[in-house]
Amino acid sequence: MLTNARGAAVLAGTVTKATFSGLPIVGCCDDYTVGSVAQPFLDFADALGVPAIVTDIVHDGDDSTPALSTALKVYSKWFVPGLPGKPYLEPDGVTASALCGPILTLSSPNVVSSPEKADLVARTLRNFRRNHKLGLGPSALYVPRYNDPDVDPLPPVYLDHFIAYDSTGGHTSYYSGADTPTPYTDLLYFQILKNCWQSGNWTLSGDQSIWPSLPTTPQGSMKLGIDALRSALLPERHFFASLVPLLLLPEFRGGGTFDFYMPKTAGSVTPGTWTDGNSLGINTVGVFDVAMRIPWLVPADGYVENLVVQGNANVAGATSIRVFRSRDHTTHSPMLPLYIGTALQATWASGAYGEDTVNSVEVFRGDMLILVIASDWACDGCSINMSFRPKGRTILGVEL
Amino acid sequence: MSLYLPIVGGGVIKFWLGPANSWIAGGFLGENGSDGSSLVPTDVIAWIVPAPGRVSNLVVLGLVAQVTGARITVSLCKNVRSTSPTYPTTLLGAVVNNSTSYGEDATHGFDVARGDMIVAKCSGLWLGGQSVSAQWVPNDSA
Repeated sequence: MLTNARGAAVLAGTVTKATFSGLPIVGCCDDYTVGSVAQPFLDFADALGVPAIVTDIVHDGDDSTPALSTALKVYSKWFVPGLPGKPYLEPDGVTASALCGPILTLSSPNVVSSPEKADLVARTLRNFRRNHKLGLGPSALYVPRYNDPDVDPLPPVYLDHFIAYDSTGGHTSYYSGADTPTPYTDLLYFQILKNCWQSGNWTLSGDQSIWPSLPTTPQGSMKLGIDALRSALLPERHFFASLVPLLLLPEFRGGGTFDFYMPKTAGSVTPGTWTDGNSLGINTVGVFDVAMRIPWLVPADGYVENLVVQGNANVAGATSIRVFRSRDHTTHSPMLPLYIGTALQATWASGAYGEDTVNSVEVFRGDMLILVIASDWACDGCSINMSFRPKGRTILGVEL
Repeated sequence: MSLYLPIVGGGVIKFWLGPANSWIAGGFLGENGSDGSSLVPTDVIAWIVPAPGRVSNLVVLGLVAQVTGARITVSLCKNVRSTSPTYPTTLLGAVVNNSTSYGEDATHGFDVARGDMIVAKCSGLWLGGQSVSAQWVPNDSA
């Protein structure tokens, strides 16, 4: 890890009342020795007066950085209980939380941000929000796959703010004297940040015995910062206002639809009628357990949901169309695959439209999908569609 | 200030061939699966890439096992937009062993540009109807 002086004290556990300067910001990258990627970040932290720690994959491993989370658990003693609940303890009520400020994915000219390390580190740290008297921590949360933000609120992950583009469209840095279009110290946001960042030692109530003689300057500074944010109509609940637009939110990508239709001229018994218990595949409709339908295949693990059905004629009575799923693609020839009904089904009592926007069914690569109706429907042709949402979540296009 | 605007979306590339048609050896299969497969590239209707991205996660299933006596490969083929495509194969290919009916390739992928034309190709004769799916994910910069 690389640090500024304040960050080094945090890691070493040598912070004192006199040197306490709030939560650290953490920078993550592939290799902090490449392209001076760490230096602007450390300079920025020094300008703000906050601890800064840089961790990477090359030196600290392709995983979380245990030494960092261990040090931050120890450092959490500096933060008083705030909002009701479990202020700075893990859900077990015993273990201290590794409190941390925002995490940044670092970049520099011609070295792009790499989110993997930030993802790995964030999962072992905790957002500061619940532990502050006024809830004035980073309001945003990082919510990767399988994370429950109510149980383990993770610090927000941001793109850094140190890359700009020069007049030719090339990468430059806010810290490059020759190319800097706008010195970062001139930015309004920076001035606001400088005032409001050092608010971690707020002591109006709670365990004030920790800092009985703290000066009021940080409190005054924070109030100035909050007032400035408020007067500028900026989100006052956020420490790192300037980076809000750069928040990285994991996203689902690569989804699509699985669509089926039955033409007017088709039918399982008579044209235009989808008969009770018959199945509909891509190619045709017919008796469920006699003729094989060509199924849609799921290309990646995920979920199917949002089933919608529209026919050309109303149902005679209540019916439902259910999605059936099979993974039996290795044994069905010449046997029929074993299809099992899922929870995803559109049920309706009248009209020609049905939907299921409530249920979501987990599917896996290679799953086969067909549809089965529960009662006769002289639909005169119908169209059915459902959405497919893959499990894979990404930030910056990299799957987590 | 730079701004990160995530591009979400994507799609499932799907092809199918009816049970009455045979997927002929070396034949291409496109959106018009009901017309059957063809050795002539211009006979098949391609899936057109709407934005730059990557294609991966190929899965293929037959209603009956392939019985060529050897393993066959179902590949996705890519051609830049053209009225006379040749559809060279990509590295994304699912192997289907003899007397089996399913194959997948969750390892490889290939980059695509807007307007690229995508079809499927089977290296050996396969009777009985097939379903093919793959995943298209757009780039952030799309």
